[in-house]
Amino acid sequence: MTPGRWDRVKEIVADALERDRETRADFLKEACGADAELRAEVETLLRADDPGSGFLELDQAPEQIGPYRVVREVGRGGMGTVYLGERADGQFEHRVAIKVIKRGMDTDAVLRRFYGERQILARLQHPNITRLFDGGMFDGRPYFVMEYLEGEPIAAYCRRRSLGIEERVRLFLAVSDAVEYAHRNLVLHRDLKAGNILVTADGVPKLLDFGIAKVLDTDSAGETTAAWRPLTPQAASPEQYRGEPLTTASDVYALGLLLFELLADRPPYDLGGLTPVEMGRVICERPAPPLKSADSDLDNIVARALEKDAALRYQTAAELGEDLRRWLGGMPVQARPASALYRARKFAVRHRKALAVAAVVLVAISAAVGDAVVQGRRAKRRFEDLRQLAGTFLFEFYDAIENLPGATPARELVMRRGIEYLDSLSREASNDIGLKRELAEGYLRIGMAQGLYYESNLGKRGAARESFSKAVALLEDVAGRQPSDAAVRAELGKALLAMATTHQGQDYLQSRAYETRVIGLLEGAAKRGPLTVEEQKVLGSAYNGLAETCLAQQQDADAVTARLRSVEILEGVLKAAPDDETQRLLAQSEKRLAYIYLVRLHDAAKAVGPLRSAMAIDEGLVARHPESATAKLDLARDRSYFATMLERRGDREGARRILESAIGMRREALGLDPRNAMLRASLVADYSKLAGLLQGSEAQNAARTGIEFARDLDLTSDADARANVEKLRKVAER
Amino acid sequence: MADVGALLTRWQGGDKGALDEMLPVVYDELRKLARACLHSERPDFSLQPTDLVHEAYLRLLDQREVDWRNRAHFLGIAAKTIRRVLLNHAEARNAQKRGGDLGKVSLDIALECLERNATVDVFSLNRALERLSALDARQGEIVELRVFGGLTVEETAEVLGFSPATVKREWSVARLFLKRELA
Repeated sequence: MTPGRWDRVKEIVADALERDRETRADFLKEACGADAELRAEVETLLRADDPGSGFLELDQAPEQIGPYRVVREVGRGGMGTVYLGERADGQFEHRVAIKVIKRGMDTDAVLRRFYGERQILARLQHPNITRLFDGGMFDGRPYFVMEYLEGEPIAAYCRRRSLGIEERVRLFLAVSDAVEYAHRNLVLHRDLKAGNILVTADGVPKLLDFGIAKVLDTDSAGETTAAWRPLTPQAASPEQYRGEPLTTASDVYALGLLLFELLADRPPYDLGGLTPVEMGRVICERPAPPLKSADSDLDNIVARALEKDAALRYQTAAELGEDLRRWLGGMPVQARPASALYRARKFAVRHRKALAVAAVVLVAISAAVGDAVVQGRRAKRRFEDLRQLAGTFLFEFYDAIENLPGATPARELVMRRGIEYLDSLSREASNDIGLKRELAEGYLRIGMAQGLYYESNLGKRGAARESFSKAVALLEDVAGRQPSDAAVRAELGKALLAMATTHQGQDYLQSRAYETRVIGLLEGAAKRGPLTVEEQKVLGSAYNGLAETCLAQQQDADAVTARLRSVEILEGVLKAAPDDETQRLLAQSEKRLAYIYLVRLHDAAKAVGPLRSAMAIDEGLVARHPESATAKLDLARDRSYFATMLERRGDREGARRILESAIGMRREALGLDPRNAMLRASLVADYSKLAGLLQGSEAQNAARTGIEFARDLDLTSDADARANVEKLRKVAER
Repeated sequence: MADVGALLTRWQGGDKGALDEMLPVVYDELRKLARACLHSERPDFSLQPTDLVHEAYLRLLDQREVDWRNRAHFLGIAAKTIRRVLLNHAEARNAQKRGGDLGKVSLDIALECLERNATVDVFSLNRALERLSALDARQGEIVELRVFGGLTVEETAEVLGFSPATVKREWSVARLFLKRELA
């Protein structure tokens, strides 16, 4: 075939394709005439035509998507293709935009999140938000059905009509009101940008794609790299760029970018042609340029919305809107140049992450409380959603701040709100057993947070006790209704033991009463039938607690009895559920048993067995988790006890060797966590013991090392450490 | 990094050198993207070359500054680039299969994965496309833009300077040619 020949072939084929199949044969006969070769060539090509085969059918709009007939394609973007559709059943005149997500997005996760969000999104009914009607799967891809709009992008609208500053601010307020409305419904937009806002012919701005970013955000499933985060860098807040948790303040930042662009007719940052790293630097670090409108108040408002540090921004769209309304009304605005916020900034820089999380939690919880209190159960579904949402946030927050230093005010606020939330739901709970159990768990976790953070503060310990007692009351009620439910019994046992801990160190009679009650509850149940693993664990913990309480009450014989029982129970649990946690508990029980024999009863021989068991378990845990500092420290403690036991039995050489290995492990752990005062105190005790096992200059060296470790310790509050240091000084100066 | 938007403008203004500067940037971006999506290890990962081209476009050009004509031109360049990327890769793999230069050619696993997701076999498509181009350069270009770049009829028309109706007509026949050759 030659190019010239092909030209003829393709013209005939193209013409033939435009005819329907019936008239084709006649057309071909006429077009090819007597040229049989030409005719054959054309026919083989036409035979390859099979519409619907999918082969390189690149942009043929599908005829129907779900219940919608596709009218035509209206747009194509980074996420996929948008079609104009109509209800196929013709029931009502209903034009919709159908966005089909392109391949390559993580379909399963997107769908999962979509179904999770769909109800919430569908409930967003606001004149400035395009409605989301529906969604589903089409050709293996998710699609969304939305209100169909004809309009002009907001920035172009402002420019074309040459709107004045105040008109632009009013237009913007409609947008920020819509965002605020969504925030009250616990939806962040996450991808607010000028291109996502259309102004209709009537001059009404409409936000597109509300909440869709979250559905498409592979990040929330923790499975993406930055390259695929479907966000527009031009519209990203610093925290969004860094992949940190987003808050209402992140949407405020995006609103700030929009406001700047509307007022200045250009975006504050030009990211064109920057590498991702350069982009990140600009987004996260470079302060927004001053707006330089004629009005410094307006400049301040924009600057505050564009603060890099989320904590310094308006926290909600509502705050931003209020300030703009003050400005429109000629009143003084809240926004001030940043210097006034100096102190807040210092705090916020230190606790950026905690605050970001806290803000999300606060919004979620406040909304939940408000909703539950105001509406009661009027909207049952809504209530269920909020309960789940706020509950999850609360627990995630608890885990997130568990190891964070500082940020106490944020914690206090969250806890207070958390309790308000739980209290208000409790009033609604009357017969809902599932809800009661959930609430009890909520109170337990809050109580633990209170107890954990305010260990030394007796007043707050009372607060923890109050939370625990609410959990106890709820679970007692549930247990009364379901007396044979083992899971409820275990939960009640845990709550009672939590009560016991709040009395430890203060009122041993009270602790003992709670511990005894749990033992009675579960031993009673054991008589009626075998306990579940969970129940056995709780029972083991109860004997644990009782043994310690007895020790504190100087009732050593009772302590030994309780200890032996806890070992026995944990050994039983271990047979049924050989998990690491149980192993660790058992090793601890054995260790404490050995301690009683060694230190209280001065019976070193009896300590040998339990110590060997504890060491065997802990050695196994260290071997399985070589990276775990906790496992190593557990083993170090075993060895330290073991050294004491050997010394008491006269084997000073063996004691020295094993003590040195314990010291080695503890020093290693201290290297990773140099500020751990408890670890330092243990090392001081170890060296004090070691110095006693050595002689001459070796003893002096050990003593000097021990004194080094004591240097940063607060000796006034730790009598044991004081005594150890005293002893070390004497040896060192010998 | 080079400002792709500015290069594009220079290229459209007739500066041939701008294209040479642009290609390595686009090439790198495509490979980076392919790798990034591979690392995400999504079990239902089904990224296709055309998706990749669009991603590269979204990342390399400031959306605000680019009108749709620029977009079409960029996609056209990216289409050529991805074709080259995929083809180099397919050739390297075939060479390795034959045992030549074993170990010398390190196969790019990201591209391997991308190629598997292509709707048609890259190697045979390329051969068919070469045959078509020899007969009809215009159709060859249309196919390249549409198949490797995911360009719409309108975008292809803009890049090549034809009317959309012409592109549509040429495409309808070119598609049949390829279908027959690949059958």
